[in-house]
Amino acid sequence: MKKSNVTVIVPIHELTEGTKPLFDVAVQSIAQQTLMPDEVLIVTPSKSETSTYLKGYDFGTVKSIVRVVENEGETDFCAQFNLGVSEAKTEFVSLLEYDDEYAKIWFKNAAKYMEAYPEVDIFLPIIADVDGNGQFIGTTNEAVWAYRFSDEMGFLDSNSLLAYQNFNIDGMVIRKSLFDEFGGFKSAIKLTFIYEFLLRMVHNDAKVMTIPRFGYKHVNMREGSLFHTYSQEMDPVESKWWLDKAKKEFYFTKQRAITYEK
Amino acid sequence: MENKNVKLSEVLSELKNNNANFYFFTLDTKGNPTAGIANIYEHVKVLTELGYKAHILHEKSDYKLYGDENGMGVSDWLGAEYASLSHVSVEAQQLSVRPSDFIIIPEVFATVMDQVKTFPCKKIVLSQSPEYMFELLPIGKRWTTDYGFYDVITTSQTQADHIGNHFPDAKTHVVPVSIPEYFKNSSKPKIPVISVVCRNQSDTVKLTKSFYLQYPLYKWITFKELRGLPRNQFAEELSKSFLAIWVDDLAGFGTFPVEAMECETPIIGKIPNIVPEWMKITDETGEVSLLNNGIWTNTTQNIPELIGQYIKLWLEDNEPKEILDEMVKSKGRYTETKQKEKIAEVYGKLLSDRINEIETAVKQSELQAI
Repeated sequence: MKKSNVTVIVPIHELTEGTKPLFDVAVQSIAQQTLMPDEVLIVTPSKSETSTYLKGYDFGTVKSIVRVVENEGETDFCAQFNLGVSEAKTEFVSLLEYDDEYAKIWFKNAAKYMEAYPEVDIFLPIIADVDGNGQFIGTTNEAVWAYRFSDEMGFLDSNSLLAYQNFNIDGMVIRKSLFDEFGGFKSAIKLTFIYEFLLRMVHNDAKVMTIPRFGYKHVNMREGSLFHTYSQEMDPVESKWWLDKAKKEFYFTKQRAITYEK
Repeated sequence: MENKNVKLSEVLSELKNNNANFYFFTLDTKGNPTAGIANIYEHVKVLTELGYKAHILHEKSDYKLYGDENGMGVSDWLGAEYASLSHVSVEAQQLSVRPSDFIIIPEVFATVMDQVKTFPCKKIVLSQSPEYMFELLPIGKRWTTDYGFYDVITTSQTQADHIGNHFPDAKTHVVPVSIPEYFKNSSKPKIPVISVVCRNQSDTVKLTKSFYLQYPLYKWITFKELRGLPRNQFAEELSKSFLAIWVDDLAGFGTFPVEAMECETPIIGKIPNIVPEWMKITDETGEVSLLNNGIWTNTTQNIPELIGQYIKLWLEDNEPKEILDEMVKSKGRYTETKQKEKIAEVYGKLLSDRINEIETAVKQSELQAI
């Protein structure tokens, strides 16, 4: 069977009774792809209830390509994903949040665009954002196709990203070597680590393109999710502080210790 | 009488030796590209290649072949090989019509037909948009009996039938347009840009505004009007686009959708007043139905909605298969090679008919002399 040269990485800190059904859907969204990823790495804290649950989980038709990676170190979202990247053996990796789902056309399109645009390092999907009840809220990542949004239609660049922050890396298909060259996710940055990561990539001339297709469905601000927690705990002043921090930290490949100062 | 026969035999000799001139009266668009003018240039180019003396005939001599700071010339929007064709103008007194010559006038210029009706040459109408037939034609006047234009070249059988209904004594000849080979599918995946061609620019504005109001979610989708682009660039933009929109009630042949199909860019279009031949099919019982080679509607009102529906399907990789398949099946019908063969056949026939006409006149003169 033709493969996509992509490893899917699913970082999971903890599966609860409430999120297990969402995880089922996420796994199903991999199974229904018309072009399959080479491998699926589910990264989870070692010797946890979640890792035990995953070892006994019925992955169905994707069982042969799933590997559960037990994380002995830091188990925050960023560290889990970075570990997954380091374990991947393919040229590209992709991020799937365990409560989200890929559109079934995603890897077929990723492969098509990888072939048509071999110079591109990161392919973002158009993300359909839904609320906790599955109601459609809006879309993300499509703005690069708007007339004169960026220097080159369809591509993200530093200037447009500095002016407009609303991009999301969920579902992205990214060249693994970028992590070695320019570093991975920085867990020291709260709230805006995705933004900082993208800024760092475009600053280092990585080519970032949005594939103009719905490739991913993202549950926005699910109760208990990382960003929901941020929204509950952070006031607007702190949010702004992290945004400004991201705009300064992207010059550094490796993460530095950062403490929020009021 | 002998003198008259000598003159007729000179005419015959010029016709048989390919010394006849074909003058194509052409509107000077001042560098603005139009499909109809491009088609006239194609006729002149092919006739020149076939060894005929064909000329673009302008009324004024300020026509522009090469672009300058004030805008494009023929070379820029159509190509250098078209600018290098023979151009003459009435104003520069370069028009000297002989009985062996042919003058070809677009259907809209009934006043010019009136002016040249006494010319001793063969007179032909080139009709690409029958909607313009009556624009300047006085009530009750006919191309045939009033102006001496008994032959009409048009671009489809549908139009030929339409012309025949109004001028039953005219002989119609069909030369379909050709789509240059550079109208081809893009090597890259299509991009979310909609190419638009509307005869009235206000239709483009109305459609765009209406669409953005109805579908704010798709405000990032770009509409690009292709009007005024050089033809090569026009083809390139069209082939990159994921969708094309066409509104042209007065279309004769309907070139743009055919160009879009060659580029494998699906098209949403309003059905023109005269249904183009490539848009319909007639079954064995004579019943006519529309082909699924595009998304056809009879009103501009629902075009924004059709665009919205199509975008959703495209974003989900779920475009209607029967439209895509039928579109691909429609490709290759109007090639430059086919048009060249047809031009050779039709103009060859017009030439031989003219030779027969003169030979008959010679014989009649000789009989009268006896």
